[in-house]
Amino acid sequence: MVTDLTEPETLKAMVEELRTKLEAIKKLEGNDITKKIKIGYRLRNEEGITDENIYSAVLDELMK
Amino acid sequence: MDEAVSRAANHIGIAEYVAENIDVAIEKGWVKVYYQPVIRTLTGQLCGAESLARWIDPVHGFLSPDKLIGPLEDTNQIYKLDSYIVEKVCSDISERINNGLEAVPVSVNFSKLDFEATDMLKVVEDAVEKYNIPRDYIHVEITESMIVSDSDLMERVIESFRNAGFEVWMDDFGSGYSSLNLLKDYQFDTLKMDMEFLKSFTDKSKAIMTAAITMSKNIGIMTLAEGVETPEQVEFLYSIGCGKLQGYYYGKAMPLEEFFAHIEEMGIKIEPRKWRHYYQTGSFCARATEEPLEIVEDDGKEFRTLFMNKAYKRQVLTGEYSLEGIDRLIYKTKSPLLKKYREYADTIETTKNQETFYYTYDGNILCFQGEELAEIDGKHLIKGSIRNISIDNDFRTQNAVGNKLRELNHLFETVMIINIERHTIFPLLGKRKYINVPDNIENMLQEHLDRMVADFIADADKQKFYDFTDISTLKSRVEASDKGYIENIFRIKQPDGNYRWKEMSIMMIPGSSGKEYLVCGKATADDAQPFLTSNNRVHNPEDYGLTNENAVIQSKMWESIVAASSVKFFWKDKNRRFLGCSRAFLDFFNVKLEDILGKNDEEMGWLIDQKAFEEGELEVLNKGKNIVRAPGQCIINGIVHNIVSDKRPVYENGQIIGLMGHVTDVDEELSYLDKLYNERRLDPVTGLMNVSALAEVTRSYAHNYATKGINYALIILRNENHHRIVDDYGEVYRIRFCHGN
Repeated sequence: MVTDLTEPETLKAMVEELRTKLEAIKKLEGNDITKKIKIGYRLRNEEGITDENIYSAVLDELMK
Repeated sequence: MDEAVSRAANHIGIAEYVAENIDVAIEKGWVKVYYQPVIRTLTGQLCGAESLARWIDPVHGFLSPDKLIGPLEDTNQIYKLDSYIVEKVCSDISERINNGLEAVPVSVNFSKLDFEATDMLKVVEDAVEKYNIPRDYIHVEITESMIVSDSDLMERVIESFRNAGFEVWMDDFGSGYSSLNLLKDYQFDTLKMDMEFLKSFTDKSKAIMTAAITMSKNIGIMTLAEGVETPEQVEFLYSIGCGKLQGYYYGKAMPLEEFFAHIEEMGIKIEPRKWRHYYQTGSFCARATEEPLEIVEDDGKEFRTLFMNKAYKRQVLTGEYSLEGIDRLIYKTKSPLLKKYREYADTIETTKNQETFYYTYDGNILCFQGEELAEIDGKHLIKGSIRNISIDNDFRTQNAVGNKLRELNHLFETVMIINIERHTIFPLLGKRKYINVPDNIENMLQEHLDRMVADFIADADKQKFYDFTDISTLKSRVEASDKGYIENIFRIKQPDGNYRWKEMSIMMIPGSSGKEYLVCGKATADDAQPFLTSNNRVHNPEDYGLTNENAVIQSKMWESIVAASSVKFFWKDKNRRFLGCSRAFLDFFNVKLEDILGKNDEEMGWLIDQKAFEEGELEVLNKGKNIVRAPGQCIINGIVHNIVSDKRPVYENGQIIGLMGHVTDVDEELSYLDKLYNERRLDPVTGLMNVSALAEVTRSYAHNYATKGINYALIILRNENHHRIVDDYGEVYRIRFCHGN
């Protein structure tokens, strides 16, 4: 969870950076690995999002 | 002549046909992918394949690559063929993985024109993504000539593929435009030695191959030899440490099903992905060298030699043996040396450092140096080197007694040679068994002895050991001994943490004028151990299930509890005066033992409600009451501590002779509970918050959003290939993988 975020663009850029950096990890203790990172995310102030449903909304997005 | 013209005309006809029909051929499935096996030299297992294009034409029949590549390059259509091959290879690999079958990495060949015509990295990435296969299953082969023709382009290509996680191999090394600058300026993962080297299997070509492969290893490039056709070639390539082998000896290029059927028929096992890095590491270390070199696999029970060069064999063998023969001779015997090898291997595998051992064999003193290369699932790859120091002139000169040390390793666990004039100590047998010192002082006598006393000798024997090894009196004590040597027994800490009695003897080396001595260590006689143990017994009441046989352990446990446990306990006499306490008790109250001995709590003045404590203790002493978790407060260094205490009577012959109790610091306990509480909030796999902690944090974020308007976001990450990593590399990687990220 991250806080003090207001702009969806900032969140999106952060998520993409996260994905790129995670997928750039290609070896683990010498063994080759290929990651395929799927990311779900939601801002609290998005329409329809509440404190109660934010977790399930992100999970739904992830499972699409 | 007519026939030649006809052939040329036919060839031109085929070329046009190929150029005009490549799209149809791909669409109709006339283009096939054939696979040629690549074998791991060290294990003989299948570790890869090279994909090669074939065109089975309904009209012209089988069209080999030489009839395809030229026309397709001339018409700038080669990328179509190569892109299709990439797609099909990924599809084939994916199908095998999804069907639960073993798959191996496949190399694909590219033309320089591919990169000019299209974005081949995207072609490969798209195919890998589409079929969801790991990138390490695809290797890219490019030739030297491609680099020579456009070095800037190829530099970008090599870099982009390697950055994306694909291995890039240099194909046909040595075939035409070979330049060592290529190896200097570009980073390849594997060098494929051209098959022409093996066609002329002369001393000259062998020497060139040996040099090329050694050079590759020196600059961190793996090696593969193409064109392997005979057992002699296999043997030679094995001896020079060539990592992988490819050629008709293992099979020609074949369609997929035929390929795996052929591998099975030949009895070749398939190297699982999990073991690839492990054996690759071993392969990389095997090399042509004049230094003795072996690579052994240890599964914890048995050893298996994977590589042993001639220099090594010269040190330990007298004839020619196969690897299996070597294992039978060295590891599958009833030799007492096996126990030594196991001990050495266990040490190497535990410390992960390069370790040196000395032992005797057949009258020779051997120095073995080993280090672990890789470890997985309880199997360890060990690289070893050996030197027969009996035939080392320097050693022989320095140690005239050396030749007399025949087979002593069967009798002694360790034999050290010390020189009291030079203040040095060197192992002759075993290793520096009872010493953990930095390399820079490992041979310094007094430092060695001091560390041994500090780390290994039991407290009760420390002074005895110092007296025994006192250099200033050593000569006179040995000379005064009727036996010609001195000996004594000591309790010495063993690798498992237990102390055992060991017999140490020190003997002057004849002719050294009292400057050099042998210090020998061995286990005490089998029948002496019970006697020594019984002499150390402490009486314990058997109604608690404590038998006399356990007396030593019980005594040690008691000492350990008093000195090292965190329990703050004490015992008092009938008059409530302290008789003793644990180290933790002293630390907690910040006092010394002499401060409290013979005093009661009132005299100590550290309790806030002294009366309640006194009454409680009197009940214990006069009525035999057990007090459990009685609350109270005490002052330590001016700070009030909340405590609870337990107290019980102590009996002798049925009479209460005192009491025993312990104190618990409530604040300390609460702090510990807090820590436990936090641990309950962590996910053991990732080390991050678990769901219940997340829910708690979410509540906090929600509160801030509602009351202060601070926005927040929830991000959930999922690695869709996680299950595959765990399946391929094992459960242990599940945790390492998550924590590594």
